[in-house]
Amino acid sequence: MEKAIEIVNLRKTYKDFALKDINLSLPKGYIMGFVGANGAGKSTTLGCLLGMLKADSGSIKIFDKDIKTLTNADKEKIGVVMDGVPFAQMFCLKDIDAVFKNLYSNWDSEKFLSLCSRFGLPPKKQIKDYSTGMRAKLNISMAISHNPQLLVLDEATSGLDPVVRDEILDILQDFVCDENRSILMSSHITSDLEKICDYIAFIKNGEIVFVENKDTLQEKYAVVHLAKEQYEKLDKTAVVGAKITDYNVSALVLKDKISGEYAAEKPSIEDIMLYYTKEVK
Amino acid sequence: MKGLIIKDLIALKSILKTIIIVVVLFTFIGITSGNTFLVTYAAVYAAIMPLNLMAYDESCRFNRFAQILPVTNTQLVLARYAAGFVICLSAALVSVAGMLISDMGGMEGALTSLVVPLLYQTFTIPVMYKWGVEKSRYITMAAFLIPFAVIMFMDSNGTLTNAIAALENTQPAPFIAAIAVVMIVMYIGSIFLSVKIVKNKEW
Repeated sequence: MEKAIEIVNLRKTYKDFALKDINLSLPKGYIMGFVGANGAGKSTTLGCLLGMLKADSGSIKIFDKDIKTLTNADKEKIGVVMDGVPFAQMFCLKDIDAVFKNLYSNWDSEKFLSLCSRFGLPPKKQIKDYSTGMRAKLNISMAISHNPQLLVLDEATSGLDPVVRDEILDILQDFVCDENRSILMSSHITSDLEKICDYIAFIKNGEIVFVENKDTLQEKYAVVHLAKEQYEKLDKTAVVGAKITDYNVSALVLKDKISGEYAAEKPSIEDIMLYYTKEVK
Repeated sequence: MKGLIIKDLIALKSILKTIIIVVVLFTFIGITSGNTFLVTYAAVYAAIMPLNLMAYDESCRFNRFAQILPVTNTQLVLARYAAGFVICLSAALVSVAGMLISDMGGMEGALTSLVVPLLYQTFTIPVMYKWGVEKSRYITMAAFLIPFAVIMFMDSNGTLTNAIAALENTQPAPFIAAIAVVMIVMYIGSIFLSVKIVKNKEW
């Protein structure tokens, strides 16, 4: 399977934080959700992936090429959404269009302006007068208007209302209809990832906990609700994390490691993330 | 790279009115009062414009975003120097035109109008790339005020005019050529230094 992104043994150390041997690969034509708590290392990983930060060691490839050797033509195939609009506050849509028209050889002004209009972005207003939601919509419009093959989105849907988020998710799903296109998106809104992602990568304290197919993940785990006595008898190697109250216990467990009759639920991505983060056993 | 220069020019559009008013006003006052220094000051004022451009880029983290745009770091730096050069040249032309109209200033005025602003940029652009606009503001301020004070002092007691006039009278062509060569070497050196800083920087 051809890969859009391949990260092998990525290390990046700061004084008080480190990415430890990050391994991540995204096959072409798929969407991967990148989840983790604040400060887990998502943005640092994406920063290294996009060449904004220098990795201490490891290899990072995009379209099978080391990121250090990416040419301008390779970069034309990448669209990015980071926090904040990367233009000065006095810019308006026409100005942004003028800049990108002269940067990307395949910039589609018509597509950009029509997306902006679909999102209700006022063409003459300056960025400084845009709301958080409007800025997020503008970033998405900028990222896909040069018809990239890979989208890297860092919290792209945060600050948006559910209706617009849904609209953006539709656009992203349409984007990967072409099987050469892929998306890596980090988000705290796990319900968004659940809707559109094929794979989920979970990072915790600078380490990848798992990279799994979303459906496999939801098949592999279950949330069980037990009385305390039942929980005590449970094989603890099956327990990923648990919420213990005075009366009962809810736990995320590996399905194939438990036996007996339990009230089990299919976990959401948020459940998996929360139980892995809590790690209370 | 064209897109980057367009970005800078669009950013400057908002302060263009102020630049034009200052350059034209200082040139006019300088001409009417016969003060060469004021005429050249207008050109020197324009030299600080790249500082505004750097501040805009820093506030919206454009350079971080640029790492994934279809431009190299060399092109990113070259575009900034190109915009700075165009601004300096335009302001110097206004000043020199003013001097020619009023028949004042001569060679030293023309040289000061272009060389001093370019020297300022040669020094400050790498500093701002290295430490950012906010952290390097004392250095960039000093780089503006110290030569300003020196030139003002030398101009007030005639040292500057006499020294340049003496060189002009003896060897004008080699003098101008030497200034041009030194300026070009320093400007290119500054570009190389900025490129090196940007390539090694984390955004």
